[in-house]
Amino acid sequence: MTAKSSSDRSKNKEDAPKIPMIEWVVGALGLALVSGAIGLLIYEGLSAAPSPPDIHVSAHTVSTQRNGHVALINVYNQGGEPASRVAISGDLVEPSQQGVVESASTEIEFLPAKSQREAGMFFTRDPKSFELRLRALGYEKP
Amino acid sequence: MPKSSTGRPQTRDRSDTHEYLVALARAFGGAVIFSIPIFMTAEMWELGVTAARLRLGLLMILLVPLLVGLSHLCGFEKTFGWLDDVIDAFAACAVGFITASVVLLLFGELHAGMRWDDVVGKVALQAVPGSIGALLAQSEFGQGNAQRVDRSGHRGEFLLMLIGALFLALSVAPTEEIIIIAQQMSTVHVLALITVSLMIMHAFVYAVEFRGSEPIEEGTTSRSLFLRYTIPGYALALLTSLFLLWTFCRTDGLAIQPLVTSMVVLGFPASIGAAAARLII
Repeated sequence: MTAKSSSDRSKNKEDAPKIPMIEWVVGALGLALVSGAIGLLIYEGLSAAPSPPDIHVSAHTVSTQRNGHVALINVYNQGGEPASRVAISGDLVEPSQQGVVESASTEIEFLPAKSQREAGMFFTRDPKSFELRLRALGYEKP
Repeated sequence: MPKSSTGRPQTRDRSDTHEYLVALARAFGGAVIFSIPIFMTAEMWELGVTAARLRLGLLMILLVPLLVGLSHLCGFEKTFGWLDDVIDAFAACAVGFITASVVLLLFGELHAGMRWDDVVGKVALQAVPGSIGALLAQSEFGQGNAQRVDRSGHRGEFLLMLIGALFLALSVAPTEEIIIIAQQMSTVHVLALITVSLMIMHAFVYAVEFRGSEPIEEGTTSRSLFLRYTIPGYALALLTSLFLLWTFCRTDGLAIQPLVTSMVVLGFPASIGAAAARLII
C-alpha cells in the first residue's frame, strides 16, 4: 500500500497540472468565499465603532378585533450593537387631560443592530381615539 | 453507483472528473449530516450576529490550515502533494458555505432586509462544522482510506485530536447549557468531571493503540500512553474549549473559577471528540 501510494505520488509530481479543471474551480470558489468572509469580518470588526442600541418604536397599523384592538408596531434598532429582551411600553393618553387611559407592553426577544422587528400591543380601547405613546424601556446585552 | 477506478488509464480525465463529482456529492452529504444539530441551534444563529467580528474572523483564519491538515490525513478524495490538499481544503470550505447558506435560507434565517454583515457572520459560523464534515465524509461513507495509516505520525495524531475536539465542542459551545451546567457544579463535581473525561479519553486512546491484538508500537504500556497521548490530548481539548468559549464571547467578564468550570464542562465533549477522532477517522 505504501509503495503504491508513493509511486502514485511521484508519478503525479511529474504531471502536476493533471489536477482536473473542476477541482481548481471548486477550490477557487472556496477560496473566494473564505477570504471574502474573513475580509468582511475583519473590516467590520475594525471599522464598526460600538454604539449602544438606539431603539425607535412606531405604530403603523391599528386593527379592530373581537376583544378590542391591536396596534402593530415597528421596533427599529439604529445603534451598532444588538439588544436582547427589549421591553416596550405603550400608553394611551387622553390628549386633553394628559392622563394615561390604558397601558400595554411587549418584549422583543432579539433585535440585531440596524434591524427591524414587528410586534403588537392589545388595547381594549381604540388607540385611534387617543394619543399612543410608545417607548423602549430597557434591554439586555446578548 | 459505477466505480470508475478500473477504467482509469484510458479515460483518465473523464473518470477523474466523475470520481471528483462523486466525492463532492459525498462531501455535501457529510457537511449536512455533521452540521444538522448546529444548524438547528438558535444560539448559533444569534452568535453569527452578536459574536465579536474579529474573533469570528480569527476562527475562520485558523480553520483553513486545519482543513489542509485534515485533507492531508483523510480528505474527501485521494490527494497528491500539498497543492492538492490546499485545493481540497478550499473546496471543503465552498461545500460548507454553500450548505450553510442553503439550509439557513430554508429555515428562514436568511431573509431580505438583513444586513450583509449579519448574513456573512451567520453563514461563516455555520460553515465551520460543515467544511470539517465535508472532509470527514470520505472516512465516514467512503470505501475506507489508506492515507491515514501511512501519513499520520505523532503530530498527525494531535491534529486529528484537535479537529475532533473542535468538532464536538463546536456543536455544544454556543448553547446556554454550558453556562447552566457550570453554574450548578461544585468543586467536587469539577474534579470528578476532569477524572471521568480523562478516563474516557484514555479508554479511546488505549483502544486505538491496541486495535489489533498487538500494540502498534513495541513496549507500549498503558502508563506511557497516558502520559504521551491522554494527558496532552486532554490539554489540547481544554485549550480548544477555552478558545471556542472566547470566540463566542462566553468568557467575557467571568471570574477565574466559573471560567475554569465552563472550560472543563466544554472540555468533556471536546476530550471525547479528540479521543474518538483517532478511532473514527
